[in-house]
Amino acid sequence: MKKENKENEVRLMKGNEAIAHAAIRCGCDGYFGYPITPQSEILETLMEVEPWHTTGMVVLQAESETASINMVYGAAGCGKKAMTSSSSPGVSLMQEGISYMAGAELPCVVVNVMRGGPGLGTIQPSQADYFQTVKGGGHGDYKVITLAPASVQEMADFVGKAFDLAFKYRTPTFILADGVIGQMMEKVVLPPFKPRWTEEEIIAVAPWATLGKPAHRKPNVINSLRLEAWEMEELNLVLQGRYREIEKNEVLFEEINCEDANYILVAFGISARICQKTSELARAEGLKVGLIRPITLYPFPTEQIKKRAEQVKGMLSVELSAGQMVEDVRLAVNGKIPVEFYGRMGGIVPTPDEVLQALKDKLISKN
Amino acid sequence: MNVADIINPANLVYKKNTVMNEVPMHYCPGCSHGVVHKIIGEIIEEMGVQEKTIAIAPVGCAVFAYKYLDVDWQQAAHGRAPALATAIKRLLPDRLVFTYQGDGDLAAIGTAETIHACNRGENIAIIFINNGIYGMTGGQMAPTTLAGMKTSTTPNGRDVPLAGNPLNITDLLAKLDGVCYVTRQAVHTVAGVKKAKRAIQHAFENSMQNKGTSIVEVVSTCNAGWKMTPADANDWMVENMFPVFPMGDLKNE
Amino acid sequence: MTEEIIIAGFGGQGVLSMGKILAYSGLMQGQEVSWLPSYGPEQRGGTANVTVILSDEHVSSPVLNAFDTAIILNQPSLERFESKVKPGGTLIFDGNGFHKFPTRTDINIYRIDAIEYAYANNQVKTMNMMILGGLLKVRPIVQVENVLKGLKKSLPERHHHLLSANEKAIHIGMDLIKKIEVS
Repeated sequence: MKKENKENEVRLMKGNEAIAHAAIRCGCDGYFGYPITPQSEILETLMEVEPWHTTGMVVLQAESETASINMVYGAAGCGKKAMTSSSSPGVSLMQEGISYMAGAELPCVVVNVMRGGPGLGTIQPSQADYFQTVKGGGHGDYKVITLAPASVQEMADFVGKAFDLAFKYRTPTFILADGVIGQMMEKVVLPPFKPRWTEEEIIAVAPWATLGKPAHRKPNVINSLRLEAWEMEELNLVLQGRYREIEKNEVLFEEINCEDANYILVAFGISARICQKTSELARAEGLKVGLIRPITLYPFPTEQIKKRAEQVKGMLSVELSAGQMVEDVRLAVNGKIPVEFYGRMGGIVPTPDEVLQALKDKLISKN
Repeated sequence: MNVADIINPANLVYKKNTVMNEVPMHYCPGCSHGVVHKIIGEIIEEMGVQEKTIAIAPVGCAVFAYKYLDVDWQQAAHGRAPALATAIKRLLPDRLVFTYQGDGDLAAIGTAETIHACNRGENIAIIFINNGIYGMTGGQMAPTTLAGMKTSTTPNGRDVPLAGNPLNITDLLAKLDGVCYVTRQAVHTVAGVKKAKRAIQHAFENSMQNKGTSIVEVVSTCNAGWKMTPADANDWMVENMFPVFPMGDLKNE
Repeated sequence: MTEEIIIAGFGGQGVLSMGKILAYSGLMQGQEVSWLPSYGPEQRGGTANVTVILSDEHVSSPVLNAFDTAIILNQPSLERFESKVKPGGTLIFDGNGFHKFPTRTDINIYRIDAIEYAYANNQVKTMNMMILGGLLKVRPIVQVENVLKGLKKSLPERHHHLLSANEKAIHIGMDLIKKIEVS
């Protein structure tokens, strides 16, 4: 067993490793996962640290992603902080379980360290699961809160945050990362240790949890089945009400160099890091280019993008995909200014100068 | 003479167990599910583990099992009950955790979850209702449908070259080291009900004592799906199902 | 100060771990660092590369299109990365097995034949430390003591007895490296 040392120590680690350490530290009760590149270090790190000896956290390598997400379902149904992680093809396989958890109003954290698709695709980085994550993924009317980390520090910080949001709104919550953020090493300060919840604490936070039925209460039933149409609509209305609250309360974004910008890049995750450098390169040439980085992809920072559309001449959505988030940027801007897209696919990561050239070609040269 | 005069403790020969809820069941008359539910309710009451029980309902006819027994339930996606049970039992090792699954749930769509939970020796009990047919969706072929048996998707009888052999999953599971108890029972006679009850109780005790995985297969009738009267279905089961799925313990460690 | 470095070669040459040691050295001297590997089956014998950034300021993009320094350990990597060195930058290569050599005249080019030396002297395991030593001779971006501290941090304790051999290798590399004039 490796010892978990000092608080506030600055460490160097991969994004995937940071997720694992943060999970242990934020009082996660159970991790269930299946190996897939480029995120296997999460399960490997947990197995190396052996948190069951310290916090009692359960870590299990499941037989498939299907089993993993359903183990998460079982654990979450008991009010436990449960999580899984995978990469794109594995997350596709989990969608059934995620839809069931949305329907059963179960909190959990799912980490997707995206790789290129469709199909078995490539193990190289991608952001092409944006649609899958923020527009549904599984069947039925549901949404999942989606946090998009852009650094190893955020990989560490977002685990606890994702659990907080998941329990606040009783909903699956995603950390949508990409192969670069998962595989790169940066400095990180891990969050302080928080003890796991006791059963009394679980009952206080999650009175719906199936911990065994004491004589004084009715049975708790974790269930997404509503055979009567009116009952099913009622559940849907509850969920939709919750999504409106999430949209009102939980939007997170970062703005860099936007105050005097004439053009704005919109990007998340690794693309946002690349675009930050693009903005630096542009300003070195006297071009006033800013960056809006959505931190929550759902809920999306629609209002802020709309506001900035009043000020700038155009926006460029930069993604490791064929153009997915750009649709949400366009909806936010609603035709007020041109919104263009630049992206690479299949695991290719564009360089900062490449993005600057695209900005010039698609927007600046047309003004 | 009124009801209270007739029903007094001295005359009591049978009492409904307290774990079963006062709701009408949706099961067809003659179906084995109702009997097995009753047995489970009795065992939970007698073992005094109602507050410690977490049960997993499947997809299939028993999808509404959570309505009938007064314990905490989780309703699983089709076939995934053993995965739920795995996590629940690992996080709450002092609880009684059991799944209640049909043949389609356990032996078709959920084969992987079943085999791997058993292979890990999860300390859970699996109650497996094998009636050789998909009752809920209207009588289609199940993995355990007998060769030659007619269902809505094998209207001329299960043709083995076309549809494969009946899957004897319990035999397979008995070979796994993680499994401590495997038995095959039926509830078509009073003696059968009593034996099945003892078997399920043993499985529950194994779960409480963390001895490994227990599987109780209850070879069952689906008179509606088989298109027979309940009495004929019982006879048909004895004659046709028992030779393929013989009664008795396969493993008891 | 910001130093943007690419290290590229065959998988198994210690490319990724060389980058890791550099990153840890930067950490030890309080710098911002990023370490971005190529990952996957490449590690098992294809070409591998790693981008390391050491900076006194926040690192914006870990993905780069141009580098201050390139360390090149095989022919395909030379072809891929020579053009990516910033004018005035540094290219260090181990010429083992090369049939084409660097041609740019606007960068500083150094050759270090560490592979040949390491094999001849049965020191293959510390070959990458020789190359790191060569780098530090011509680009003293981190102090040797911080490299050793970083090495200690990144190596499991069971390998700490190898620290002195690694330190020796750094000094061997400092002697092996030589400037090349392209005409």
